[in-house]
Amino acid sequence: MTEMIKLSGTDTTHSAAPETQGLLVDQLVVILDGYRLQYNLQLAAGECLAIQGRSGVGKSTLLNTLAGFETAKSGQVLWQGKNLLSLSAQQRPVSMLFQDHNLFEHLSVLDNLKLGFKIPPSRQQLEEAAAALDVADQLDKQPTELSGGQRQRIGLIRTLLRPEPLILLDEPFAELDQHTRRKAAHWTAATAKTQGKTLILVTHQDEDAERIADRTLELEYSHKKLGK
Amino acid sequence: MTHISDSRWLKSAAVVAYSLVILITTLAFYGLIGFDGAHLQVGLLTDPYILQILSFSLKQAGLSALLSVALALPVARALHFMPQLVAKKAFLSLCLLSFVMPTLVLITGLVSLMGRTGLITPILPNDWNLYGLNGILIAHIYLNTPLAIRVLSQQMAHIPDTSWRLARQLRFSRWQQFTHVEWPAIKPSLLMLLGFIFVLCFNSFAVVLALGGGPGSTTLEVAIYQALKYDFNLSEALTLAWLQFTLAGLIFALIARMGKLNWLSADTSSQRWQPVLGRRSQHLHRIFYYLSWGALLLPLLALLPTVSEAKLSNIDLPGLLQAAFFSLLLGFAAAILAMLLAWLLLIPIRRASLNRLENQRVVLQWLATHTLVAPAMVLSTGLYILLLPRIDLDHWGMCWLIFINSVLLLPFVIAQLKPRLLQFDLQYGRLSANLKLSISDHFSVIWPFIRSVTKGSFALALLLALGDVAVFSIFGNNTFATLPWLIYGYAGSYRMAEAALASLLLLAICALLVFIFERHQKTQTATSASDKMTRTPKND
Repeated sequence: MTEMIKLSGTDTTHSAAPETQGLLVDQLVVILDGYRLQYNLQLAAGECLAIQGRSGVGKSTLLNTLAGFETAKSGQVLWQGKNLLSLSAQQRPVSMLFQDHNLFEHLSVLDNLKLGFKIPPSRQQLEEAAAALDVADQLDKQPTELSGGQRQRIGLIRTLLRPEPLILLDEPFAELDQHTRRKAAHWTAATAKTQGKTLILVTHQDEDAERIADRTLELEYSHKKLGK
Repeated sequence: MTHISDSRWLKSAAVVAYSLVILITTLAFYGLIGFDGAHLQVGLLTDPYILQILSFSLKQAGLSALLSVALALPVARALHFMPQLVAKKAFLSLCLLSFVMPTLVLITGLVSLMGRTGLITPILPNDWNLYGLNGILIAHIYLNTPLAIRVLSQQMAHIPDTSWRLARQLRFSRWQQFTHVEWPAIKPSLLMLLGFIFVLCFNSFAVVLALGGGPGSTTLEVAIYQALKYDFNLSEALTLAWLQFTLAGLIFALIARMGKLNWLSADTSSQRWQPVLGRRSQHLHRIFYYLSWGALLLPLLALLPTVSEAKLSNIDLPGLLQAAFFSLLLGFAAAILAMLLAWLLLIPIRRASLNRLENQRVVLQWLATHTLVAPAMVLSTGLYILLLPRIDLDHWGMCWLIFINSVLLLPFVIAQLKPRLLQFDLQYGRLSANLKLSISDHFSVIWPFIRSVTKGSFALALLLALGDVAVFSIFGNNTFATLPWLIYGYAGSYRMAEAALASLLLLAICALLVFIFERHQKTQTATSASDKMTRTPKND
């Protein structure tokens, strides 16, 4: 099912009560480079949402705001009834895969995979996940020896295996070929379901959305340039 | 954005570091003001003698900065456009050695070369006199042109291949290439270099003291020293110190505003496509390059014949070795403390930079590095006067010596460390926050990233600390005499052969440290290059 959501103004497809469990983004306003972006959406716990839309429409900005890397002007973001906007990025229950710079280039792939956990997963767990994504033989290498797609899959493994319940993926399959893309999408969907993660995925590909997401939101332009 | 500075412990440590650095300057001025009713004498600012000193200080600093940069430009172009030049790497190392060389070594070398009985003095004009503006300019140019060469050649190495290809495609003339490609790349560095060298020369002490040659060639820093040492006129010293602090501070604030000066990194990027200079231009640039080799080597080589005049029986070899040991010991301690302070001081600067709080960044950076403009002589003397009745300086003097030296090293260490730490924040700041790294995890992640630059900065700090005479002259004692102090003593009693020998020993230690510094810079270059690869990954 595809729904439309307005970024600006009050016309939204959702209106949820603040006490609802899961994720509620209510009248969230972000000012970016002089443009006013507004978001409204609701997501049940364990649900998987794909966000699509033209380049520059504000998809990554939404993820960055949810993760605590952009500052909201107004509105609220509730996770299980708790306001996330008052928390720092480090305090939010969010694990995010960025479009790039997901690995420390000066650490080995395995060392990178062990970061972000109180108790890192065992080598066996990591190898199983890596095997599912065809990167099992890359674990002992340095990130510089990996291709862009391999790097992205390593980042994806860590993002999904981390204990945080809310997963944000910013174009996770952008650099993958069709075969690997399909494999990675299935693994992501299965892992998210098994572990009960709530997942928001930004993608330009309809197939990714269909393979992983329970539903899709199409963001559309309605930016307002603010006067000086 | 979330940052390591959010840790309460580190936040407190950073506050302590800022307090210490600000306190040391405040206490020094307080020491001068508090002693015997010293006060600012505004009337001095219109005194013809002071105006002449001010005018000479500005003139020599301005000329030194202009000439250093002007002479560096053709050499930097030669290094960049002529990869076939012989011994380029050795030349860049020599440039670094020249910049960090203890001034007393250079002065001994220059006196041996072109002093009254210097090696080449017979072929110089009859009225040649090293002492005065001549000598000051020569020494300042010797010390600072190499810095400008390194900065400019590095800046040129950052011009992307695509710009040169486009210039060729658009059939640019050589002049158009210079104005449209080269000049925009080097202009910000040129301005910053001019400002930086101006401040260094404006505050120059040992060179002006040794080569000034009289009241006509005195700078504010030397006038402060004379007011303290000979006249014991604290009010005059205080007034001159404020004047110098204000003028140099304004220029320095302008530099901080202009942004980064990535000034001692090794000549890095390998470029696959470079324009070729015309034949005549190549000849000209080659001449500049080899002349620079000669100019940098001559004062060092001039030490050798002077050393050979030394009578072996006169040489106190154990004393020399002991001084070398103490120099290294004190240098190590000051460098370690400087590294620690710099790292703490950079935490809020990084945070401000990451959050794009530009004004806050400039203020913090100015506070952290203001000792570049605070006269070293005033810091030492002010603190000495303040501490003398309160602390047993015979016992604790060396600790203060180490502390003051470490604070004076901060501008240089921070300039080295800052770009790499900011690069880490820019590249991995979000990732680190998203991974919710603990402080220990954060250290284990950041350390491999900054290891090389940390070691390099440490070597640089040690090199600079090794040259200290000013602070030692106030807080040091002869039991722990350092090599520069020995050189100063030998030169002061006209034992030039011994001075030259001690200079050579100090030079050898410096050369070894430069070698270590360069090696670590290369490792860092390799790491940076691998970091850059992530921006152009292979496609699956």
